[in-house]
Amino acid sequence: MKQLRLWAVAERSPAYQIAFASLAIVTSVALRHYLDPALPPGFPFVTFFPAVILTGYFAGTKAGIAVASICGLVSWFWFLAPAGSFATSPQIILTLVFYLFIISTELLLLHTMRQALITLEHEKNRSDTLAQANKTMFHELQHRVSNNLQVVASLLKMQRRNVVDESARAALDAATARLQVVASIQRQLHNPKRQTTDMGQLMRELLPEVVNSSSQSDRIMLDFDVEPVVVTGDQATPLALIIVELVSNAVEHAARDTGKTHLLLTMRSRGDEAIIIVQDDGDGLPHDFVPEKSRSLGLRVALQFTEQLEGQLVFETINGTRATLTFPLGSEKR
Amino acid sequence: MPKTILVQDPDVLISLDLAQTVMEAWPDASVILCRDVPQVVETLTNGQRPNLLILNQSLRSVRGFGLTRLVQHPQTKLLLTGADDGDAAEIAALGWHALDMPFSAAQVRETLHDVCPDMDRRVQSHCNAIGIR
Repeated sequence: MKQLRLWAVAERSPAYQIAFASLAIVTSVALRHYLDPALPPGFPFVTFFPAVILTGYFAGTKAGIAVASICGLVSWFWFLAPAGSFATSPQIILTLVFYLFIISTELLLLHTMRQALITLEHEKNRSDTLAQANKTMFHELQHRVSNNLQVVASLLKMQRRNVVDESARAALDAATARLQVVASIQRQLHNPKRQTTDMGQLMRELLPEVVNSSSQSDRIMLDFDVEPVVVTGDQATPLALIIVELVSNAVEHAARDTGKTHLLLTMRSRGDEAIIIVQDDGDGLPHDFVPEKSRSLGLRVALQFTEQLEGQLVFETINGTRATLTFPLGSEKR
Repeated sequence: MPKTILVQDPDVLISLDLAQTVMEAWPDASVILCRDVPQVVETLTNGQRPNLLILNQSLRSVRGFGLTRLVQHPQTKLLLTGADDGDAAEIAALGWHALDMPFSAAQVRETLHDVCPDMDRRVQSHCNAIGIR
């Protein structure tokens, strides 16, 4: 089909048009002659209609008109009684007028269709060029943003090398880790092919890095029970940062001195609501734990972003610590 | 045997950070810093044979500059920090490595270990021998 469309819109040279038209005339006249004894009276143009259509389609309207004119004359001379003359009678004139009407309609339709196909092809080429430019622009944007983020990350790392205080080093490490989370999300979100983001897939890629970058990584076992949770671009960054903060928190506080601590991320989407659970099998929360009064920066970040998502974040002690985030899966609101 | 590592990045901060991370992995390594690919090409055509090249380039630009031919030496490893997302499979097929920006020191060490398994990925020190081209 595509090749047929391309043939119709291709620019044809005059030589091609003349050659195609001549071939169509010779073939259709020869075929009409060959079929003449077998055909009942009343079919003088039977082989000329396809010749005109094919020529109009493959060689252009002008060639089609030439074939229609020559075949009309040939038919008039040889195949309209009396044969071998350009005789005129009301019957012959009526037949020729019908031929003219049918052939004009055919050629007009073909011409309109070819013009429409040519316009469509131009638009398609323009769209392809725009899409390519868009892709290049996104690539360039992604590289520039990544480079800028890398400059900041390098600064933080160089700063870290010159700091001896352990808490300051940990703070710089945490800042670098958060920067990487933002960078990973940015890479996903600025993918031109992507309209929405499956957070389940994103977390599978992101969280092992978060856990591995922790000093407790060899004492943590991270498991996933995630279904696709598709969120909008506006929701992706806050949601990813909440999950990363909850997992980082669990890694920091739940890891035991001996043996492995299990971390399980569960993600479900139920109708227009998403449920995210981060569960560890550690010692659970302190008795006087109130999330809103916590001095942990990570927890404050998580609570702020939960508010932004118009969701709820609940902490419980159930076989360890369980943090449950529920929020509405929305369309683009902001 | 002391290693020679070539780091190319137009941004001096990123270059120095990478150089430091490399020197943490191989404290006695020599690091050559280049700002752009023509400098890399000049270094390689002058007979330098780094064990590892860390280039902030995409696969397309590496090919465009004709670096593929220059880094065909079996002892030379290549790590791209500016690769396009879709090129991962092709880079792996060539036996090269890629690292997405922004990368942490741990990620660089991990990748260096994959590239050159003889390095100690936990070692940390300060670099003291960086040659800037």
